[in-house]
Parts: sequence; structure tokens; C-alpha cells
Amino acid sequence: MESEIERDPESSNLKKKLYIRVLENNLTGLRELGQRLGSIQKGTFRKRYGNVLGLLEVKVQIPAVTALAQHYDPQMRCFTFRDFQLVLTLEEYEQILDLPLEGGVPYKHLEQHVSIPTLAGITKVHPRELESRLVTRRGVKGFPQKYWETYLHQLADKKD
Amino acid sequence: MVVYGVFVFPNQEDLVDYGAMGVFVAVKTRAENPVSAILADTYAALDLCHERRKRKMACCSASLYVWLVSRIGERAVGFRCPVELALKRGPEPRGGDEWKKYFAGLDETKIQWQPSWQSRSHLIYSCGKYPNVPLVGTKCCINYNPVLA
Repeated sequence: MESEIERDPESSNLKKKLYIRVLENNLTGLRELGQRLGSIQKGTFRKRYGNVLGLLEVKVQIPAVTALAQHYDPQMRCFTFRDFQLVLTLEEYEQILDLPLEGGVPYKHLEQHVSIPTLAGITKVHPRELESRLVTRRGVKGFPQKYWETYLHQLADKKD
Repeated sequence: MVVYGVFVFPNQEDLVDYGAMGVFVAVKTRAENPVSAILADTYAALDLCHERRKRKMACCSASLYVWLVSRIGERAVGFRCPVELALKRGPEPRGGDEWKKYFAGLDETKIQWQPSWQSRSHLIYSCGKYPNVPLVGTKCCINYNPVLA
């Protein structure tokens, strides 16, 4: 869905007109997979990955996000409204994701991508198979979403 | 891993980003916390849109939306976390123009300054002697300074 919003010069000091589209991936397949998890599996998942599955269920009003993005001030890194500003904080994000930062280590970016053998170990897919599925789209390396969803459904079927 | 690739750290349509898989592995095998990376990527996506280098905003829009929901509207009582609030009492559906009008007319009385689950008394606003907090994401590193804002 695309929503384009023109800024009203009267109501704001930022007169630029921005066309923003929010990238929306199809989440239906992921939601289905999430629902196939048993309650123990869900609990284990939540402990490590926080409330990601809950977040996945939220029906996002994309026009709200696009309109909010218009109020973003890149110099101040905050959202500016008529008479106040709001800032996204780490503390709020840890609440949303339900992953307390205290006592833990934050993500550290590594120069090297994860190796295929590591991925193969986690996914139980043969390294050669993984290698053949790897694609590059507009300069971004990755795997087609469909491939993993089909694979995960097969795993879930086996368990059933 | 797929959840990370297409939902938490989206990059391209229908693609599980290899970089996002790296965050997943860090969380799974090294027990690292992805919150700072998600926030860094959200700021980076907003920055990129405003620099007009990218028109498509690739970030975890659900987190951003839940954040918004937790800050607007009436005080949330009886909800354990912001996600539960967004699931059970999200804002009424509005179109693009309605949201635009809503934000233009938003004043400080309509904002939740202290959501009920915000119980931590201290906030992270600097890193050692440095006035900024560095946030490391999948696509960039940014400085974050809530004091300035």
C-alpha cells in the first residue's frame, strides 16, 4: 500500500514534500507458521527473542507510519509536532520487544557475514543447497522468503 | 531467522536479508540483545528517507507503530505491555489524509508522557564520557542523543 502525503507549509516549518513508501513484506506466511508453534515452543521462543511473535500479530496502519515519518527531523533525530517533540528511546523499544537490555550484551556488528556452514548447522539444510538458494537483489544478498516458508512448513508437517 | 529477515530487519521485498540473519545468529548463539540494532535501523531508515536517497522506508514498521500507539490516545490501564495495548486497543482506522490532519493537530495534552509500563527510573543517555550513545545496526552505526531532543 502506498500513501503519499504532502506537508502543509502552514502547520510546520519543514516545507519539503516527501514521498515515503513503507516496505511491507507479506507476513501471512509467517503468522501462519507462528500459529503452528505449540505453547511450550512459543514460551521458549519468547524467552530468547522477546515479543516478536506478538508484534507480528499487530495490524499496522501504514498511513499512520507514513504520516509520522513526515514529522521526523533528521538533524535532531526526533519527531517534531506543533508544540513538542517526541523521541524514540532504547527504553521504549526494549519494552515493545520485551527484551531487557540490563545485564546483557548489545548486538555487535561483525565485518564478515555469517558463514554458510554456520547457517547450515542452524537450519539443518545442506551447505551446498543453501549456497544454490542464495540470491542478490538490488545489491542485497539474501534468500527468497518463499523458500524458507515452504521449508518451515515441511518441518512443521513432519512434527505433526 | 525468517522473522528477522522479513519482519524485524526488512531490506528488500520477499527477501530474507543475509545481514539480518547475522543478527539472528548473534542473538541465538551469543545471546546478544537486538534492541539497539532495531532502533538504529529505524533511525537509519528515517534518515535515508529524509535525505531522499531512498523512498522506500525499510524498518520494523510494527515496532514504530506500537511505539506511536503507546504514546497517543488515552492512558493505558490494565495492559501489560505496549504490544498488548496495540493488539487490544489500537487506534481507529484512518486514511492517509486523516492521519496527516491528526498529527498536525496533535498537542501535548493528547500525548502519554509517562506510559504505565515505563518503570525504569534511569535512562541511557550517554556512553561513558561521550555525550552520545552509539547504536549499531545492520546497515549503519548512528549516534543517539535523547538529551538533545
